[in-house]
Amino acid sequence: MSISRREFLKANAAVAAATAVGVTLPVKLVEAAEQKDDIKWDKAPCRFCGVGCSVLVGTKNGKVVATQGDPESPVNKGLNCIKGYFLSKIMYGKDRLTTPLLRMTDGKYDKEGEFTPVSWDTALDTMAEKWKHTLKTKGPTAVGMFGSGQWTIWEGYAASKLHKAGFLTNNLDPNARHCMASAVGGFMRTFGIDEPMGCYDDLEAADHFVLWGANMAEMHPILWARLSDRRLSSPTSRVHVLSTFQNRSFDLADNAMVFRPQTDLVILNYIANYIIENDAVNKEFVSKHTRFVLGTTDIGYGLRPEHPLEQKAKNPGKGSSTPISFDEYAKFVSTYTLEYTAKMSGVEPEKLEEMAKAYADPNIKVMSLWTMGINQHTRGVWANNMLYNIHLLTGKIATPGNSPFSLTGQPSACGTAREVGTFSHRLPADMVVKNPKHRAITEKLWQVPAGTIPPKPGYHAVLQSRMLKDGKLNCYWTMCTNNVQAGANINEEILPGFRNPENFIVVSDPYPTVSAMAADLILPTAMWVEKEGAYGNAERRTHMWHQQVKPPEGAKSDLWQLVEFSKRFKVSEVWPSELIAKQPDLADKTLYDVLFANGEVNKFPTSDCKAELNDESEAFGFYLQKGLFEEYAQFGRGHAHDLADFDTYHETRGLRWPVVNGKETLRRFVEGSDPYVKAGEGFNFYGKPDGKAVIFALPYEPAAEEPNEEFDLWLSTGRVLEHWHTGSMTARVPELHRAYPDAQIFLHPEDAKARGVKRGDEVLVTSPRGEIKTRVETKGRNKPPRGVAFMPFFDARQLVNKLLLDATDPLSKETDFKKCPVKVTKV
Amino acid sequence: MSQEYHITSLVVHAAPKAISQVESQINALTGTDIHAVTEQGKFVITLEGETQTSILDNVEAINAIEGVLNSSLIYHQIDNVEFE
Repeated sequence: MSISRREFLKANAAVAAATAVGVTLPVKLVEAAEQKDDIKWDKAPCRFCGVGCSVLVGTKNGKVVATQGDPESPVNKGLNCIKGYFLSKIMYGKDRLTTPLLRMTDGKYDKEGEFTPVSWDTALDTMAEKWKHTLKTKGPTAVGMFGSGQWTIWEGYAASKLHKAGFLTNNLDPNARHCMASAVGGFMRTFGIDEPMGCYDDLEAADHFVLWGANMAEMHPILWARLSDRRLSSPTSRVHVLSTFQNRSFDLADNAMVFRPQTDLVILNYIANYIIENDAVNKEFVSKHTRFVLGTTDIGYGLRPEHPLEQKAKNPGKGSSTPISFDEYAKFVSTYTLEYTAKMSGVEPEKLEEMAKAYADPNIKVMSLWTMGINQHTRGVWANNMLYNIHLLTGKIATPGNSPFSLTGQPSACGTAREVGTFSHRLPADMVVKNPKHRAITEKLWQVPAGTIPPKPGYHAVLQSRMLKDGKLNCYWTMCTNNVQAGANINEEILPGFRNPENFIVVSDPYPTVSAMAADLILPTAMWVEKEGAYGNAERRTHMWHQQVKPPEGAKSDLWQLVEFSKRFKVSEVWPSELIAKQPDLADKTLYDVLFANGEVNKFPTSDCKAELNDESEAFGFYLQKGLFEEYAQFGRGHAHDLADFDTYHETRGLRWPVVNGKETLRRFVEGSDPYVKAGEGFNFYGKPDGKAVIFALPYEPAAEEPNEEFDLWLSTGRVLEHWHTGSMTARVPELHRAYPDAQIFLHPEDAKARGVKRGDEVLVTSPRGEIKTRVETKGRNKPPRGVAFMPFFDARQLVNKLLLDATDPLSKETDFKKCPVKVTKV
Repeated sequence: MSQEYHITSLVVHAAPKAISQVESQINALTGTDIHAVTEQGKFVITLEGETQTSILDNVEAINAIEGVLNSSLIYHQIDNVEFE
């Protein structure tokens, strides 16, 4: 390579960085960057987290060779986090799957056979045969799917149609159940409508920031960059960081607090109490826009009904509440004094008070930020409700910088899982299967007979595992997720279901993940810019990308797989005769005809697509993605979930819904910003029939399990910056793997010493459900206090989640991945 | 034989009081160039290398420097270099 080419490439990189921070570089360098290169650039959202950064993707000879933070993106303004480095590599792992693999012996399917390459036709025909047999013998509740918050919007929508209106089952749930279900539950209970009212612009408008367990420095680095900027450029800005262990976000903390696991519930009620006792309640706001209720308590831990903890609970799974007055609420939280809270949480009282003061002071704008610490919690819905309590009591909500903000983990947990409603109880636009009106609206838009969608919620993620094990769910398809590594209690609940001889398990993935290797059929999948896609991020931003490269020969997108599969079912083979009698002309049609070639989804010609590549449109003969999106968008338009027309999203860096008259909405529920709030109303929490947000009186209740004499440490699991979730993509990038090859257990040095181990030593980590070998880290980026341990879950060779109990929030059914008692012993 | 050339640029945000110390420590790493530093403590840096790990090692080293609050990736490209 000539010097000049090297100089040119370096100049390119430097100019991009300088542009992102607005500094000027020497003319010589800029001139060097102005030469022409043969890279073709197009935009795409990053494949990884829920922040939703836009990336410019550079392709050359059909391969992604370069990426750049998109300077035109309002989210990341030209920046990317280090995971962006791997975007150009994630598609090119050495073990990328390129053919369907079916377990076979002597040329026939055999659950105990070896994985054998088969054609797509054989793969899908074998699947269809299994599905038909199960539907016929056991009915629609015996088939199901586990999907993803990393699915594109139309993949989630196609899966929802195929299951709810095709197979007549609600057994569809996304992996977002493990990460955002409690957030959804919190929104629905407090506001009656899902997703944050505020947006990322609040990061530049807030004075104080409070991190509730979220380690943004590692998990949401770009938002952290914006927050750091605000903190350092505004003299009055302060950062309060709460966590059960010290992490990288503590580097910027003005007020750093390490609390005992589960006592976040105590701290939240203490702040409410402080606000009331110090006469800081925004009385006008509270009386006009809120009402108070007392929540049902002692609700159990979402375990199997025969578990002793469920037997002991008075009101297992109950989410009901009764109206109370402000005075009753005040009395309810009055026992959460500073003294009690400091004792329970282990946090110094002056630090707690400093934070409470910030919330109470009417002149300080506060942004609260949280993710998995609050959501993956057996009282996660409560904790979400209690966070909103604080912002509602002070009226610090929906205005610039006053923002309770629920961060998201996955790139389309909002756009696909939540908005499309791929949960076992949901339908698009916050509708639910239990509500007959919602079913009727959906059946009408889907052009299927009344009574098609079953009214009973299906099996949620954790229940799917239990039902697989119990032999009640027999045909199971997982896509774009890796539950055998990511789910809890792997040995006792997940693997037995995958390997149950009664079951046929299909896993679609680009790579041979732990889940794929435990399946009966593996389908090789096209990913990210190998297909056209749309994601929805944490601030309600819907954004799209075009297909930019061909997938490896043999790999097909999830969308293609779902739609192609539907062709193999005749309506008469899967629907009962009573339902067909309502629309007899459907009997001989296929599910493909009914769901996808229905006059709506197939009404846009392939020529509408502006990209050079679109494999799905080419395969089916119409612009499939546009047709699915436009049919789906009808659900939300005029109902506070308005999406713009399809083409707009390809032309912009995304828009935040509701998009009304071409204008996006920065903040909801507030006059002047939200088109659904009328002049003179000030605020309107229109998700609730009376327009009032709900303040919940809810107590502290203990975790499902606490450390005891034998299992004497709290174990929390989570992510690290370098890896995305289970590492199925990131661990395949050699340099990333090298940067963070093996998971470790982070311990306090004294805890290590007490167990006779030191940094780097091999240890056995044990819970009542299993054991894993790992190594000790006492000086790393995470510094737990005594009695607490942290271990990331990305490492497929150390399946830490097998230690965890599958205890869930009984309301949201989301697993608590943060509080498992373990013992650590020297090997 | 073919070899890869990697070029990456970063914006590193350091606490303003730590600017000079961060600057000298970044300069000490091989394959790094500082192109600009702002008063607010933002560094425009490029990292280049022939092996992929060297770049990441440097990113990790930069993150570990005291006073560094955040580093953001801006640009990344892999070029295939042909050698005779």
